Amino acid sequence: MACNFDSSFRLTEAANVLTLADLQASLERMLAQAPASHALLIKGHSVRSVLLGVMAAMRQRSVYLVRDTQALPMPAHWTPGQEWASHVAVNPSQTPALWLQTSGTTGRPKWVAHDMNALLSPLSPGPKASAVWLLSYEPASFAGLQVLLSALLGGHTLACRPSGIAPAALLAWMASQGITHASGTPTFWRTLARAADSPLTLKCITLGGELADQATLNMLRARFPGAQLRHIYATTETGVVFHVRDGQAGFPGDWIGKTLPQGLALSLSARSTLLVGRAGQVGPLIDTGDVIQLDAGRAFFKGRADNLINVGGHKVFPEEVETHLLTLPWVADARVSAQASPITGAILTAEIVPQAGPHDDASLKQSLQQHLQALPRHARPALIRFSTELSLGASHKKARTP
Amino acid sequence: MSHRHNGAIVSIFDLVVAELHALQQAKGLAPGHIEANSVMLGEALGIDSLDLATLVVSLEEHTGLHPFEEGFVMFKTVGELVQLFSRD
Repeated sequence: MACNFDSSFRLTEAANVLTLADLQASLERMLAQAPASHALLIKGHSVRSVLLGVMAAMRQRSVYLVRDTQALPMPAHWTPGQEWASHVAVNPSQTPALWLQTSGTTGRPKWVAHDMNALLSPLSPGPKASAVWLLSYEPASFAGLQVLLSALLGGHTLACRPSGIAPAALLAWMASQGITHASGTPTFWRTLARAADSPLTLKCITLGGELADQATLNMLRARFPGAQLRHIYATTETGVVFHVRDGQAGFPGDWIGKTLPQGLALSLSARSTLLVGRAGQVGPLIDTGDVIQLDAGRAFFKGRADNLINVGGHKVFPEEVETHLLTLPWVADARVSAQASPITGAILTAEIVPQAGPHDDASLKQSLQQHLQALPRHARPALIRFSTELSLGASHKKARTP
Repeated sequence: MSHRHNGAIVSIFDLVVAELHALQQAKGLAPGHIEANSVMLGEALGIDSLDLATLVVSLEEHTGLHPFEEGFVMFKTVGELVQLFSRD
């Protein structure tokens, strides 16, 4: 496989700028130390290391991007100090692959092998124009890799977000870096959008990793009128399944039962979860666990099957209630959770982040009570708390307690 | 034992009555007379198990007490529920 990364690629990390040539020199040193029959174990926390890992995988080497050392029995010579941690002999019959760990939000992290060609094929270098990408995801996550590869292919600049930066400061930092392309979870975008106004103008906004609701899409459309807006549906096992570019929540219902451009086919399970399989292949289908509701020709994500809450025999998805809450203009973000109840087994509670500005809790609660009348009684949170920020998981998804 | 509710100091009994009246109003029922021996899930109050679950969560939040943490404790009347949420 020829290395078709564009030589104008730049990585900016704080004050440092690395060119593709700089990275290639590091790569040569790294490969010279690891026998060709060995797989490389790369620490997945640094963008630079992950880029080297991706470039090594392009050179037909097996690469493991390690995020959580607990999930892999590490070889004895795992050396924590080095940028690329170590190398280990692999079975010669194993096809070279880029191995990623799943985030482990729904269980123990597991390893998934990705073929570089399959990772690259849905990406297009796009028009030869200068673009500056914000990396908001962990670099060694599937979503992070999408950003890295897009910037590499296009010969763009990749800017690493300073760690621990607050949303208001992040927005100002993005403007100062001239960020044009950014990808993040809907929760990330809501956090960013409610920070103070900034002169930031984006060309391309990508949402992924969580359900993209209409209220969030509309808010981004209004906040960044010139930006191309799209949401991505991907699974760690299959990679990108589809992009939606029409600015509408969900996706066209007729994609279910059809073969998509990536050669993937969608179907629904008996419990209405989305199944993804390779077209023309009999199983194994991946049950994504995302429950779909078809409405007027559109397929909407209702929530994750494993988030379903049983309130006195009535089943409700916390995501459905959150989506409804987000349609209230003063609600900046919302998290709905289950609380144990001695009467109904579980009952819903909601944590609401109001938009910045003066407000009084009593009138907001009244507005909420009125708004919740549109939902069936069991789907109305019994307890509402206000907060200024929702706690996020490492992947910038809303943290959910099981 | 008393608690702060909407800025005013009220007893647990008053708190339960206020919450029950709010639940009744939300269902379009007239807030009726409630006393300690009113039966919680009886026809008189028009309260169902979902209302009761809402009431319990609200009492837990206001009092910081979790009388059902170790398992369900039987109660039938308003007074018995008040008792569960009153520290001895």
